[in-house]
Amino acid sequence: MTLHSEDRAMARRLIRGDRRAFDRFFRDNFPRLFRFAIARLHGDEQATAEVVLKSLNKAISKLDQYRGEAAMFTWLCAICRNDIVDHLRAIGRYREHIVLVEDSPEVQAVVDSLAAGVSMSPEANQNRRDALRLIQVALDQLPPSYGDALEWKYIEGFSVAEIAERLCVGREAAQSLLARAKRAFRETYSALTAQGAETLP
Amino acid sequence: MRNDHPMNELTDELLESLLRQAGPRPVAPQDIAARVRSGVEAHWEATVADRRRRRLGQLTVAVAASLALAFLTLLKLPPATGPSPALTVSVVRAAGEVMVDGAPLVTDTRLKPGSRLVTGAGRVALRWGAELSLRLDEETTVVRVDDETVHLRSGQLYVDSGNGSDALTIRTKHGRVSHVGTQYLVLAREDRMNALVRSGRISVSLGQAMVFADKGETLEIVTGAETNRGTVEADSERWTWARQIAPPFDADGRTLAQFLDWVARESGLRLRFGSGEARAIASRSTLRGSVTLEPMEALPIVLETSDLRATVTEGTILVDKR
Repeated sequence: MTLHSEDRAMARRLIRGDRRAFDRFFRDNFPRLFRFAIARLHGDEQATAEVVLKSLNKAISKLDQYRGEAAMFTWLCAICRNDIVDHLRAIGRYREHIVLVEDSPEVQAVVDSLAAGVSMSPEANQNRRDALRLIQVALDQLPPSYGDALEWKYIEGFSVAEIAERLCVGREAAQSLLARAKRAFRETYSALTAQGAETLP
Repeated sequence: MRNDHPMNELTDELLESLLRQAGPRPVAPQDIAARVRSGVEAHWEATVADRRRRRLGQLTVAVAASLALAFLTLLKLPPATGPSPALTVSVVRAAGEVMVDGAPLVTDTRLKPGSRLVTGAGRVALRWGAELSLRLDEETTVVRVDDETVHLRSGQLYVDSGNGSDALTIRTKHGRVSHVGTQYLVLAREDRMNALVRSGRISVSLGQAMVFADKGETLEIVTGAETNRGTVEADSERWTWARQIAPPFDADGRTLAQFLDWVARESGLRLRFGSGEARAIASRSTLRGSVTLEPMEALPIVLETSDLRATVTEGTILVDKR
């Protein structure tokens, strides 16, 4: 079993009251957890805010139980998933619980649609939209700096020098980080598409 | 992992194409991010403070247990109560510079769980649920944690529980304050917390220990332990700012006697009638409109329209017939 020692250290620093650890904990996890929840809450921003607030507070209360057996973000998603179910039950919409593409064992077929290019078929286009969202989900599974660096380089078009500046590292370190990020993205995306919901946070 | 998946042959070009098609990941709106952060931060700070107090409390218990086992019964915490789901916290009066979640306060603002309210050179009065009145002095920061908890990060917070039994806990770095039908004020600073009780009773939780303060008492808590007790009069100047930002008195259809009760409660003065006739006049006189002046400023103006007059002496408002 891989122990997530960096995340464990983060939990210990949070327990001790280290404010810089809190800043990083929130900066690294809130945006991703918000995306995780809003996709499952019918796009309702206010409900998402309440659920995420509840989940993060619950996690803070249970930090001493976090052993690093899963990544911190995976652990947060597990808590959030339960809170989402509770919320949907409370408002009587549990039966409408959204099954996302990444929660489906048939996800591979959806991903394959990417290779097919744009289609005029509504079903194919929906599959294509799902598959593209899966890319964003995969980015969220990476360490935050990896996801950000890939987005900056390939979507926003930043140069390696600009990424280095944003990450406060040297040019070579940024180049190396990008290479690792690509490798991690490929592995995460493949795992995501091959294994379905069971392994997902 | 499937070995035949195109991702295993991820070239720069394919990666770029996929990411461009997917587009940037959506981000939470700034106001929501700020609100959630406030709520989580307040909870984290309170949790850290609780853990520290618990550690200190456990040490205290260990020492005390060797002296007297009976002492342990005093250290029980009260059971937690569940929050009501739809409680409304709204701003009823504000003056000067007040910010909510980083934006200037606007009329009819409602505070959601996690909302942070910051006063600079300003004050604000809140209606918390059906009965509670909360008032923030200048240079004060609070966060609404949930329906029954407010985190006072710094500054002064005044609470009037009215006639109701709504629960409220004020968290500070140095302890938690709860009330039993009362008017009181909590002041939080980096190094200490002060609580002043104007009427009724409050309890202050210090880790596993609990202390109480009654009407007219003050408490000073430094690093999780009670250090000083003092006294405060109900009409002391310490309450003046809270009176100045008191919510307007909705006079329409209410009696003059109810108005006089409000003035007395807000000013910390006793109310006396000089005669039975004066009391009867106050009870049968009905008011119209709304009183937005400070209670003591409004008193002579409202009475001007009646057959009554008031004099204030030695902590008492004496109301008599002209």
